[in-house]
Amino acid sequence: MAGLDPLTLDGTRSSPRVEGDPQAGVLRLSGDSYPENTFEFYAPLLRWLSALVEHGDGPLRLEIGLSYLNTGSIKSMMDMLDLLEEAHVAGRPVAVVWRCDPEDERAVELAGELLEDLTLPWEIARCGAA
Amino acid sequence: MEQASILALREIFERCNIVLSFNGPFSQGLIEELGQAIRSYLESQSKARRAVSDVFAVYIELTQNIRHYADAATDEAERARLNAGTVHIARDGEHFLVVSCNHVRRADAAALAGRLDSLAGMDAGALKAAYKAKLREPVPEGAAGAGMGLLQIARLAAAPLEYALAELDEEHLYFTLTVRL
Repeated sequence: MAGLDPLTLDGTRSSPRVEGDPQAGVLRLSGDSYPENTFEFYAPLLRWLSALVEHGDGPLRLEIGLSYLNTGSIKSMMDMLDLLEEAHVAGRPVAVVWRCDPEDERAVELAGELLEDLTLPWEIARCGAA
Repeated sequence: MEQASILALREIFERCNIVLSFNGPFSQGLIEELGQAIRSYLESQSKARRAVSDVFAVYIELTQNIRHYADAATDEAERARLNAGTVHIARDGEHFLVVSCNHVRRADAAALAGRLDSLAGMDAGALKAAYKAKLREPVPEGAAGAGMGLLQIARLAAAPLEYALAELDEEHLYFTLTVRL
């Protein structure tokens, strides 16, 4: 969409790589997520996603490929999913793909717990470390 | 450090099956480095993926909890004091123990003990319900963490969390938490 810049952050040992493509309506996260100030890290991502939801009508897609999330990151992920859930309920095409290493049962469980109460279309893709 | 202390320390390490310990001030960089060491150690021991994930997750929640607790202190000296702690990773048969120790202000001890006691009384279903409720609860303005760390730890633990609050000085108690995984 016009006016919203792409969002790109290089990953570090404790913070995920972030790729937000406003044209495609896609936000991708990969790596580990336990940054020092987790909510400060996620605030701009939530603002970006919120702007993406509010200012267009194209399809939205969230691709999560995180291997470890601390509880602050889990909470932030729920906030993102709730934003997309609202958009879905309002009629926007939304898809969420959560990529998990199938060997990592904790990651698969976490994805299931966060996604199971949502009505938007989601998929847990068991496809090796992202 | 005198030889007697070194030998006494070794004896304790051996007796308690401690595989990794840190004592001192925590920083994010240090938490990351130690976390990497914990993962590498467990992987080198060919431990199940789940054990590696759980020990790492509990270690991160405990140490980041200490950081967040210290950050909330307004006084510089107090912040430094609260930011220091000890973490041990020990083997216990097929299980691992993650032990964290830090100073807790006397005024905060009752609330902490109350939270841990209430978690100890919850079964897996109740813990999951509390976790799900917390996921949807707004985070208080300025909070550093989601307030879900202990809940998450209780869910991962193979046994109820064990804690102790020992007398330290007028202002502080020494808090130890043992998590069996």
